[in-house]
Amino acid sequence: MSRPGAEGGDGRPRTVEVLTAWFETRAGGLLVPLAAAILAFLAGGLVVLFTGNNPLGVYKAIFDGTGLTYLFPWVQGSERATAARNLQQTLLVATPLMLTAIAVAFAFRCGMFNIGGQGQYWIGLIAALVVGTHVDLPPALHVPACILAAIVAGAIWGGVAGVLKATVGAHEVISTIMLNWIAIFGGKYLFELGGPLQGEEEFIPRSNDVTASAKLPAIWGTLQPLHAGIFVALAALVVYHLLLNRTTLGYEVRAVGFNPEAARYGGISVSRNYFLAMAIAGTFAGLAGALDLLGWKFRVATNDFDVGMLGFIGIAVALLGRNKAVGILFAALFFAALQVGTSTRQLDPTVFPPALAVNLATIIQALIILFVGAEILIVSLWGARRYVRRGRRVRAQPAGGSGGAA
Amino acid sequence: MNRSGWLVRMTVFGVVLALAAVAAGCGGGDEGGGGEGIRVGLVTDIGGLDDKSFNMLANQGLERARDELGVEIRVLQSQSDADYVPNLSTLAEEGYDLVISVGFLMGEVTEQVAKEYPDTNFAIIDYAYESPPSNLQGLVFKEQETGYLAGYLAGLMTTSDLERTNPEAVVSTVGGQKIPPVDRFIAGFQAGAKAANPDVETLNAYSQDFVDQAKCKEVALDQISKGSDVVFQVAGGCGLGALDAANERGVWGIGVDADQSHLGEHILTSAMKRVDQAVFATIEAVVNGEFTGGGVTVFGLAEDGVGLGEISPVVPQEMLDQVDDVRQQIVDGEIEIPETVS
Amino acid sequence: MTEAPVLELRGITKRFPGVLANDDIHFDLRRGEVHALLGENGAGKSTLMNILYGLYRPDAGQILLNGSPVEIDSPRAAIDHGIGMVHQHFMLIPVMTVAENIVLAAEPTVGGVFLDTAAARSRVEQLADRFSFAIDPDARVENISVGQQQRVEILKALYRRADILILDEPTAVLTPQESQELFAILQELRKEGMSIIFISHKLNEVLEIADRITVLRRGRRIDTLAASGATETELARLMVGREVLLEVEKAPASPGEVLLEAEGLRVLDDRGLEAVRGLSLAIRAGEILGVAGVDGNGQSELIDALSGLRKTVAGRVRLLGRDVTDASADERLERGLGHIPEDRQRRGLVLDFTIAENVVLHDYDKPPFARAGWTFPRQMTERARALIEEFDVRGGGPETLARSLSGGNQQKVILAREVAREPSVLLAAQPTRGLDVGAIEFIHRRLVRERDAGRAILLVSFELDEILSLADRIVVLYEGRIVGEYGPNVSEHELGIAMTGGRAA
Repeated sequence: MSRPGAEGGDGRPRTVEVLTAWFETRAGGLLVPLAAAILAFLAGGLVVLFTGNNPLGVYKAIFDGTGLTYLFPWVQGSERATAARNLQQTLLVATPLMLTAIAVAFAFRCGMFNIGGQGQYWIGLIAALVVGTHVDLPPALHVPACILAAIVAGAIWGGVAGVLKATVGAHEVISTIMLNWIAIFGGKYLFELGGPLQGEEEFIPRSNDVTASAKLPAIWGTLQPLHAGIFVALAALVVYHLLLNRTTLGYEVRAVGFNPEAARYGGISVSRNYFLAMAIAGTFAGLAGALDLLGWKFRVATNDFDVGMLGFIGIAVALLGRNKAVGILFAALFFAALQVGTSTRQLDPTVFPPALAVNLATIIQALIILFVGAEILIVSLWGARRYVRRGRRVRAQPAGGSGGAA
Repeated sequence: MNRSGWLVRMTVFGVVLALAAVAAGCGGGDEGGGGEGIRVGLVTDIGGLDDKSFNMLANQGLERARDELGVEIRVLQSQSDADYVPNLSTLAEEGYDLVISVGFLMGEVTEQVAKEYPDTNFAIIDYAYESPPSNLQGLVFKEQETGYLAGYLAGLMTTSDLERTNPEAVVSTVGGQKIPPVDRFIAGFQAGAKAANPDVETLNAYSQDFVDQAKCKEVALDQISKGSDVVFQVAGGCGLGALDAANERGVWGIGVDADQSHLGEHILTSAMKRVDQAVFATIEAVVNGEFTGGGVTVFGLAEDGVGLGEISPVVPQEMLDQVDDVRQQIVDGEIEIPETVS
Repeated sequence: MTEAPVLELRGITKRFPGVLANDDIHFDLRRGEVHALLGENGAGKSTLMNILYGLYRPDAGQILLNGSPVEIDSPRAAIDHGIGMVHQHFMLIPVMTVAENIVLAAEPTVGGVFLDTAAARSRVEQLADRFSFAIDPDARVENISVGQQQRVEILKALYRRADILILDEPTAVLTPQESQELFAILQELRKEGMSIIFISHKLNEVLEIADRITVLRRGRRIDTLAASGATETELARLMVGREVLLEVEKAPASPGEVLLEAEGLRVLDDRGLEAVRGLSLAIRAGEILGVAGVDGNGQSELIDALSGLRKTVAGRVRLLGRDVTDASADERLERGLGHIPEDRQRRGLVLDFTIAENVVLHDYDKPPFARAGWTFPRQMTERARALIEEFDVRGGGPETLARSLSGGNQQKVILAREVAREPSVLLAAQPTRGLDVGAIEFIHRRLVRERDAGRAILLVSFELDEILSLADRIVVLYEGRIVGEYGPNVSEHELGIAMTGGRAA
C-alpha cells in the first residue's frame, strides 16, 4: 500500500485522532490479552455450566480464593485474615512465575523458543540446595551464595541449548525439551532412596532441609508466608527491561531476534547471541528455583519433579504478557491467582465438585493460551474489516505522529 | 432449554443444597453413628485421590466414617507441594475437628501447622514423630504381621500339590528398595514361610524402583526360574510387573498394600496395609472423645490395621484354618516376628 | 463528452492521524481506457484505490458509477458494482487449482453443496478464450509462475463480472518479459470494453500502456494528461514537484590511490558451487567502479566476500593496504568499509527496529551511543534526527519503525547510515532497486557526491542505465569472472555483448 508522507498533512492532527491512534497502537497490546482472558473465562464458564454447576458461583469462589478481596477495604474480620492468607499464596506462586516467564521472553526476543524453563528451574533449585545444605556460611552470605549457584547452574543448562543451536544448529525446542527430562530424571535420581543427595531420613525419598542461614526472610504471614524473594523477582523484571532495552547486549539480542541476517551484516555475532540469550534465560529460571527453595520449600522430594509446572506456565505468562516486563508482572499475578483460586480448598464442594476443580484451572489456562495465540480469531470477532483498517492505521500513525516532531 | 428453565433448575438445586447443609449442620439424629457435628478433613499428597494407593485408601476410610459414623467430611487434593500448608491450615482455620494428612512427605508441614492450631486434632499416615505436639498423632503399621501371614500361607502352598505349585520348596520376595517398611513385610514373610515349612528356601531381591514394572518383572522371572512358585511383591507399582511374571509362568503371586485379588486367578492373596482402617479408627476415636495426640499409633492385626486380602478359592479350608490360627496367635502376642531382613 | 464516465471520483478526502492521504481528489475513468495513476511511493495512490474498493471509507467526497452516486463500504459491495482489484500481493490459495481459485466464493455447485468442478472448469475456459489468456485451469496455483498467478487474479475479477479493473503496481513482481505479456492482455481487455486503472510509479511503462495519466503527489491530484505527447521528463517533474535530472551530472573522476583490492578471489555460493572464480579488481579513491552483469553471475558472492560476510576459498582482499582476508565483517567496518546491501529488507535493516536503532546498526556499541555496555538511546535519536534531516527521509521520525517507511526512504536510511560513518570504501549493491524516480535521483547524486569526497565506490547493478550514468570505470562480470573492462563512454551494445558471455575487444 502507499504510505502517506508525514508532510502530506495540512498541519496539526486533531486531538481525537492522536488519542485514537495512541489507543490503537498501545492498547492493542493490552486489549488482545485482556480479551483472550475474558473469552477464556466465558468458555470456561460454559464448561462449568456443562457439568451442571453455576459458573457465577464458581468464579466468585475462585476470585475470593485468589485473595484479591484483601484489597477491598470492606472485607473485614476473619474474611480479611483468610483473604490475606490467600493473597500471600498468590504472591508466593507469582514470584517464580515472573522469572520463568522472563526465561521464555528473553529467549523469545532473540528469536528462540525456550521450552526449557522447567529444567532450568530444577537445576537452579538443585544447585541452591547443594549450597544451602552442604555449605556453612553466615546468613548474609549464605542466601547470595545459594542464589549465585542457582543462576550459574541455570545459565549452564540454558547455555547448553544455546551452544547446540549456535554450533551445530540443533533446534532449541528439541534440545530444551530433552534437557528438561535430563533435569527431571537427574533430580529424581539425586533424591531417591539411596541417591547421592537423599536426606537423613533413610526411607523418605527427599533432600535435607536447607540450613536456617540459607532461608529467605518472611515478610508477610506465618504459615508458608510470603518471603523476600518477591523483591528479587520484581528486581529481575527491572533488570530484564534494562538489559533488553538499555544495553548493547539487549540491542544485539533484539536485532538477532528480529532479523539475524541484518544483525550479522551489522557486525553482530549471531551464534554468540544465541548462546548468551539462552544462558541468560537460564539464569532467570534458575533464580526462580532458588527463590522457591530458599523462600518456602526448603527441601525437595522426588515426586515434586513429577508435578513441577512453573517452567511451562511461564511460557503462558510470557505469551499473555507479550514478553514485556510490565506485561509479565500482571500475567504472572493473573496465572498465580488462577492457580491459587482454583485449588480445591477454595471451591466448596457445594459450589463445584473438587475432583473437577483441578481440571478447571487447567482448562482455563489452556483456553487463555489458545485465545492469546489465536489473536486473529479474537480480532475477527470484533470484525475483520475494522482490523484491516486499524492495522493500516497503526502503521501509518507513527509516520505522522513523530514526523511532525522531526 | 430456555433461560428461565435453567434458572428454575439452578434455584431448585440451590434449595436442595441449602436444605442438605442445614440437615447436616443440625445433626439429623437418624444416622445414629454418633458423629454428627464432627467434621473431618483429609489432605492428599500430590499423588491425588486416584493414586490407587494411600490417598485412595485414606479416602475410602473417610467415606466409610461418613456413612457409618455420620461425620461431615471434606477432601483437599494437593496439586503441588505449595498446597500442603495452605490446605492443612484452611481446614484448621475452618474449625475441622480432625485433619488427616496422607503420606510421610507432609511430616514437617503437618507438625508446623499443628503447632499453629493447637485446638485442632491432626493425624498423619505413615509417619512417626519422636515427640509431636499433643494434638498430632502419627499412624504407622506393623507390616511384618501381614507379611508373616502371607509367608505362612506361601509356606503351606510349597508343601501342597495344588495347581501352580512345583515340587521345589522355594518362595521369593521382590522388594522395591531396602528400606524399613519394605523390609518389615519381607522379614515377616520369610519368618512365616519358615514356620509353615522349615525346609523352605526364601529368595529375596530389590528392584531399586517403585514405578517401572519391567524391572520387577525381570527380578521375578529370575526367581521363578530358580524354582520359586510363590512371588510376593513389595514394590508398589513396579511390583505389578512381578505379579505379571507369576501369571505368565503359571505360579502364584501375592499382592501388597491394597487387595490386589482383582488382578487375576494367579493372586494367592494380598498383604494389606489398611490405611482406610487406620483413618476410620482414628475418626472413630475422635467421635468417641478418645483421640489422643502426641505420639504414634501402631496398627497391627489386632487393630485390623493390616491383614490378608481375599484368598484364592483354590486354597483348601484346612489351610485357611491354619492361617487363621496363626493370625490369632499373633494377635495374642504369642509369636515374635522379626522386623529386619537378615 | 457524449457518455458519462464509467467511474467518477469527486473530491475524495481521506485523513489518517496526522496525515492527509487524499486531499480533494477528482478522477474519472472512461469506458475502454487504461487510466494510469502515477505517483511516488506515499503519494496516496493505494489509499485512493482502497477507498474505491471499499477497504476505507472516505472522510469526504463521492463515488459515481455511470453517473449515479454509490456507496461502497466493503470489497463485497465493490465487486457487486463490477469493480475488481488485483493487489500487489496475490490472494490465492496455493494448493487449489486455477479454476477453483477463480470460482472461489461464487462457486457453481451440485445440489447446493458440492463444487461442480466441470462447470467451474468450463466457465473458466470460456473466459480465458474470450480474452485470449493462455492458462491451464487444472494447474495448481503453487506450481505456476508469478505472471500466471497474476492472470488468475485478473480472471477472478472477470469471473465476478468486473468491468472496472484496478491493478496495483502490477509489474513490480514481474520480469520484463512477463510485463510485456501483461500489457498485451490489458490491450485485449481494453478492446473488449473493460476500463482499467493502472497504478504505477514507473514512467516508461505508464507511457507505454496508458491512454490517460493522472499524477498524484502528496495526496493531491496534480494533473491529468493524455499519454500521447507526454514525456518522461514532464511526468517526472509532475510526480516529484520539481525538475528531475534523469541524467546524473558529474565531473570527470580524479582517481587517487587504490583503497580496495581483490586478488585471485574464489568464493562459493550457498550450494557450495564456485560463484566467483579467480577475480581480481582494484578501486581507487574518488572513482566509482561499476560492476555490470546479468543477475546470478557472482555479484552477491563477490560483495559478500569483500564485506567479510562470506568466506573466500582462495585469494586476498586488501583494504587501505592492509590484508583483511581473514578479518570479520565487523573489523572491516571498523577499518573503513561501508556497505549498502542488495536486499534492504532482508539484510540492510532490522524492520522492527526504529530508524534510530537502525542508524546505529554498526556503531550501537561505541561511544557516543554506548559506553561500558550501556546504550544511550537519546544519542541514537539525535543521530537519527540529524540523518533524517540531511538525507531527507520522509514518512517518520527517529522513533518510527523502519517497517513503516516506503522503500525509497528505507534505502535513504541505509545510505545515511553507511555514508555517515565516512567510510573510505563504499560497496553499493543494487542501491536503487525498486525505488521511484525521486529516490533514485537522490541516491545517485549522493553517490557521486561521496565519490567527489574521495571515497572509492564499488557499484553493482543489473540496470545498465545506472552503471552507464554513474560509473567512471566499468567491469563486466560473467560466470564469476571479469570478462572486460571499459571506460565510462562505452556503448550499451558493447556491454550487452560482454554480459552475455561474448568476448568484446
